[in-house]
Amino acid sequence: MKIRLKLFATLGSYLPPGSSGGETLIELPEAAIIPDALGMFGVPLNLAHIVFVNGRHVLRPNLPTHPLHDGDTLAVFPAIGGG
Amino acid sequence: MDKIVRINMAELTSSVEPVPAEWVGLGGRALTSTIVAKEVPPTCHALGLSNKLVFAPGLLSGTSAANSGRLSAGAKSPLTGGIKECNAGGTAAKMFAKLGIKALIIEWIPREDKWYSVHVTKDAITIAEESELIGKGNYCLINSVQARYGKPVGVMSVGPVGEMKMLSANISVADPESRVRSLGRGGLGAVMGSKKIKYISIDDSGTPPVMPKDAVKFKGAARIFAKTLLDHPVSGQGLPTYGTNVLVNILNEAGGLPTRNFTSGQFAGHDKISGETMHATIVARGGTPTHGCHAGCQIQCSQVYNDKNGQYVTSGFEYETIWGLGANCCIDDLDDIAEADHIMDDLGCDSIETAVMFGVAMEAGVLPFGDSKEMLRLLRDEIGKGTPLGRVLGGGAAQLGRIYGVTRVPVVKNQGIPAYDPRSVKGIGVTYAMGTMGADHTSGYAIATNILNVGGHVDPLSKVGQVELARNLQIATAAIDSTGMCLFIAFPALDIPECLISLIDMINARFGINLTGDDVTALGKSVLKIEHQFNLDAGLSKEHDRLPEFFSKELLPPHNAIWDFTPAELDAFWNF
Repeated sequence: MKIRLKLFATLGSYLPPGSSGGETLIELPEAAIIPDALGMFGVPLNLAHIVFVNGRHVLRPNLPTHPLHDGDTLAVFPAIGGG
Repeated sequence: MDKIVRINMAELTSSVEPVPAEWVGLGGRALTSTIVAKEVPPTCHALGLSNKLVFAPGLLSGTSAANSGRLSAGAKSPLTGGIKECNAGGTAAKMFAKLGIKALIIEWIPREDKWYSVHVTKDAITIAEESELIGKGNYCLINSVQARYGKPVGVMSVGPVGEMKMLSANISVADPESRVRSLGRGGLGAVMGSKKIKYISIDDSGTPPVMPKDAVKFKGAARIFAKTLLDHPVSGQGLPTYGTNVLVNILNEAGGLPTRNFTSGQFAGHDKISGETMHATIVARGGTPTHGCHAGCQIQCSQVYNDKNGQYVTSGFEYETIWGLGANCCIDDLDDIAEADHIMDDLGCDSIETAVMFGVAMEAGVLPFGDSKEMLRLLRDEIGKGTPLGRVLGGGAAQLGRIYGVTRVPVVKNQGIPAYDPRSVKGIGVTYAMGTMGADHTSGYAIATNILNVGGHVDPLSKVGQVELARNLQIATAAIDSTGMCLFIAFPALDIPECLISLIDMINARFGINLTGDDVTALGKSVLKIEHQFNLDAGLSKEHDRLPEFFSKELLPPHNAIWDFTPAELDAFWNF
């Protein structure tokens, strides 16, 4: 399956060369989970502080097992804030 | 010995009073709101003789406590018709604290149609007629005033927009680099303009440092407190690196980035205006990505943004401004937004109110969505010069909407809604609806828990838990706003217990008292209740604690979210 992986702020440095707009299209085996996507680029799971799949939060307890599906957008942020 | 200074603009005199016993334990917002509630008739005209403009440093201002340099200003707001408190960094809070001035209260209005300045030193308050600097912008004014005194005196001033008493007018506060911080919201600059004061300057020469009653205990607590700011990933790393504008991408992902005057939650041009792009641009142009708004700021979320030639354009370039002129107005040129930020700081108009207004103006057809050049022209040539159109635009989003017959006008109590769509981030919607200040994200920053996973997580798209979240955050914020602390200490305070404990320890050591956590919560509750009662007495009833109708009629893409709180659910906010 194919998913869009977006890595923001300091995590952007994990994207492969040539990525633009902070994202890359990746191919994963069926039944892949979030750690599979992050593992492709060596993103430590503990740095994934705010995670969205299709604009909905995936909370930390569910990160290790959350399933991905073809066409999903996975967006990952480190701990950041503002206001 | 601490004192209260009153300035009578009718008599052009000043007086000094001891601090009344009931005000001794108050500072910042708690003190400005208490004074306004006690001394300003709630139904008075906000630009008339009965309103009072109150400045107060926080309880910890002037000490060595990290991030304690915020100055509060309060009055009846000409924009909302209710009570108003704003706070900003800069150098003034520390100077007031060193001078022992717990509050500076400006009363009445001059009898003659003349402008004045006020100069504050340890020996005297001098009220002088001012003519040379009338009509000048804040950048020029701050430099001119500091040149007059030959030293970096504190300066609080109004630009041309404040002189013209437009509802979007703010009060500028000079920062350590003689640039502009803003007491932004609610039209307090118009109140200062109505008092005919162009600027207040402060010289703290000859004053000793602020000494805590228990210096040893204070030092220990201050060290623990500072460490919690460093240890938390948001205040220690995220904010210093990217500033607040890192929120563009995260709100866009969450579907909560109000776009095209609140008709979508995502902006196609988000990457061009994002914090990541801004950081790279600042670094490439030799700017400063990490910068504090006051001495002793450890979080350093500000920055210095240069143009393509490496020349200074603006600092304190905030997410809400960039969102407002960016996604909200469909402008994806960060340089044009930075130029607008500079102009707004110089003119002295609130960059949130003005940006929300431009979204409504674009919907009204005053200018096309995305037309940044016309936006800049309107700022400079219409608002800045006070033309009839400029005065319409300078009155803010609600006024513009009424004049042009627009129904999609994102305001609460006439104050523009910032940067986070309440349909897809419902906790902040409750804050907007119920806040005593009108729509104000800083009064109960539910984004922390709805979006940023700070202080736990409450699903932003569900109603469950949002009223309690907004209530608790507003109570805590009212207390923090009274300490002189930057609100961003709330990030560590929500996650690291030692942060709040050491904050209370510092207050106790400063004054030789024994506050508990419960006392601080009680202070926050008391401030909110005082402000709420003022608003009720001013004619702002519970029917004003509501979002505009369109939020409950128009679905917001991409989540097709809707505002669905009942009046009874919202009114439960006040059950404490």
